[in-house]
Amino acid sequence: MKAVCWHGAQDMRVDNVADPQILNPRDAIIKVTSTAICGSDLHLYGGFMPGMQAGDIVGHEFMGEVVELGSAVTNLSIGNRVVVPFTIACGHCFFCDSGYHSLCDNSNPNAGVAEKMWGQSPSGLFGYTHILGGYAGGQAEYVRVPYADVGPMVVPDSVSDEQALFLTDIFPTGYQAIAQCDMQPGDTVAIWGCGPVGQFAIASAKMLGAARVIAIDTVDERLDMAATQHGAETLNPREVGNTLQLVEALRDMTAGRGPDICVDAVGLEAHGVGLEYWYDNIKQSLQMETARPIVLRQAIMACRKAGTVSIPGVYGGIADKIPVGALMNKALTIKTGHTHVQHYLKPLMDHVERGDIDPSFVITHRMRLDQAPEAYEMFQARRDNCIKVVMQP
Amino acid sequence: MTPYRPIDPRNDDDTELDSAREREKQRALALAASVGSLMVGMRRGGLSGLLLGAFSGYLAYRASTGRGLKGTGRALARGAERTLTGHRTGPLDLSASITIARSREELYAFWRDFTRLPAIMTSITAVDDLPDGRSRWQAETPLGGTYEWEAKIVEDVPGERIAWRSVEGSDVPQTGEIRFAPAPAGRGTQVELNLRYELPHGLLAAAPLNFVNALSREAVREDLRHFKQVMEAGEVPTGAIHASAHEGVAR
Ligand SMILES: NC(=O)c1ccc[n+]([C@@H]2O[C@H](COP(=O)([O-])OP(=O)(O)OC[C@H]3O[C@@H](n4cnc5c(N)ncnc54)[C@H](O)[C@@H]3O)[C@@H](O)[C@H]2O)c1
Ligand SMILES: [Zn+2]
Ligand SMILES: [Zn+2]
Repeated sequence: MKAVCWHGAQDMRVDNVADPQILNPRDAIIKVTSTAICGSDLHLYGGFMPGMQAGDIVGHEFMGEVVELGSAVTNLSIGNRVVVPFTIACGHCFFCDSGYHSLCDNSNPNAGVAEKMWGQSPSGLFGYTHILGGYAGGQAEYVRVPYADVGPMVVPDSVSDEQALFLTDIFPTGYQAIAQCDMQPGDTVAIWGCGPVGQFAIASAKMLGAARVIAIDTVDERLDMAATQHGAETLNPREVGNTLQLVEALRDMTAGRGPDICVDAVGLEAHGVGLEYWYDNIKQSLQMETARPIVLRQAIMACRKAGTVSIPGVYGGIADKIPVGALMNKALTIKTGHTHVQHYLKPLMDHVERGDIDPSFVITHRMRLDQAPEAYEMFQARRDNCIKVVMQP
Repeated sequence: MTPYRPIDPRNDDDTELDSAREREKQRALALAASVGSLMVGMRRGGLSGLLLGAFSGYLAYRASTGRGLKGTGRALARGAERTLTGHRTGPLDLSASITIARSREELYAFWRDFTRLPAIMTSITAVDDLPDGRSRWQAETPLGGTYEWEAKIVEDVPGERIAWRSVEGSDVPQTGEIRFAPAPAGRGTQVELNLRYELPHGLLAAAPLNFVNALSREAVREDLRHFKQVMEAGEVPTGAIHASAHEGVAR
């Protein structure tokens, strides 16, 4: 089959590889019909995520048709059209039982390594670092899906591929970023990053009743999408200035209070203005920190007293100069993690089916799997107003 | 656990590690080195300590993927190899514990049938039941040999504890014990595995020596993790996508 394989920084290739097989009783094989490139894939493409190996099949946002089932999967049938959560979860451990599927105890075959890096291991992920299992991903013609009896969800006929696909990751991710914050009536939500995750966080904040949403990004087309699609107010750091100036602007916009909820939907590759950016850029390239935590610093500094900083943006190792004084003295709450997709799949599918939201709004490019190298290049450079690429094998 | 590789030979940077034995050796070396740098990292503290800790995580990850230290520093590897294959004497105690969301009775019942242990213990290839609470164990050593011994159950408290020891005259006298205790607030069972190997003075045959040298706290912990995976999820996970790349534990 054809599959998109990582071969190093800035080097994705479409390789010819062997088809996947059923290896465990709870496995299924899915024939992929649609797959997307995520901002998380850009961290791999940029070479910022440790634990990748040349030849790894990438991709964790995919859906398709069930073509083969392991002996223990009885709830699906051959031919079912399914979406597959990007978090691989057993469905039976303490964490799965508690709705924390991205923290599943049993799905990471390399849990020992993750424990060394982080103390405990989160769940395995499709098409990501070997620290999280080295599972082959779904930017491919076929993919092996473990625990298929609890992960994949059958898509109703009335919902198209393009409407269902983002239930695998970015819609639940944007939704969880807000839902985990105990939002109160009247709350203002500030969201850094208007990529696909940011867009769904903005949409979800509106859906969940935020009084105001302030969208922050350095790319004008993305700010435009936030304003026109969801009625967000916008802020471009390139116009406002450095971290202190941005924090001041947010304080002014909220009459001195600060946003009640601050969302970092940017992660470890944040851009910045001036000295701060160069400081992090140099430290990151010398591997003295694994992130440029510019947005995280801003979110902590800007956040209202006793407010919540929510971090869907991905981080891997260690970061420098986090304003821990602001965190403590303002009594902030931090909420973060990979998304517990299985937990949100059903309620969000219901929203899509009822027409409350059409997640396909975020798609800007439709391409063939063959064109993946070009698609990665374009998405990374944010060329041609590229916000979200969907590929078909 | 070896990740899936494309069939295009140009993409294969692992050809010199073709033999599984070599991979196993690399795995042991990298794990040893990872533990070493983790300890140094912890003792140092501070940022450099944290970084060393992260480095050890990276090494452990290479170990887990069978790539070992290849290209990470051959001199380091040679040093570690000498340490590993050097003669060791005295008792070697290895313990690990884990919480499993199952009752003590279920966990006890699985473990009490020693013939099921190869499904979760990476180094054990077979266990055969013999009469009178005795059993015959077979292990594969990292360098490809096999090592066999006989054990007998010395204590058996249903739902609580099983203890066993090798019979008189074993190359490497050993004792094992597994304990089951209730976790707080109905959160399943806390399982503790304690193993002790008595390493005699004098030269040992290569197979038992290789077997014992490959043992580590990490390996014991990994076996307990497999126990948990089988009991909670019904299977041991693998990141492979096809059988020829599937070199995880036996199931
Ligand atoms: N927690 C999860 O489970 C989960 C799931 C999916 C994605 N993610 C992560 O979420 C993050 C965003 O994903 P995405 O798909 O939207 O990626 P993306 O790369 O398309 O979007 C990132 C956006 O951040 C903007 N940005 C960069 N620096 C900024 C700054 N200083 N201030 C404001 N905006 C800035 C960029 O211009 C870009 O629009 C990534 O880190 C991704 O890995 C996490
Ligand atoms: Zn993603
Ligand atoms: Zn689980």
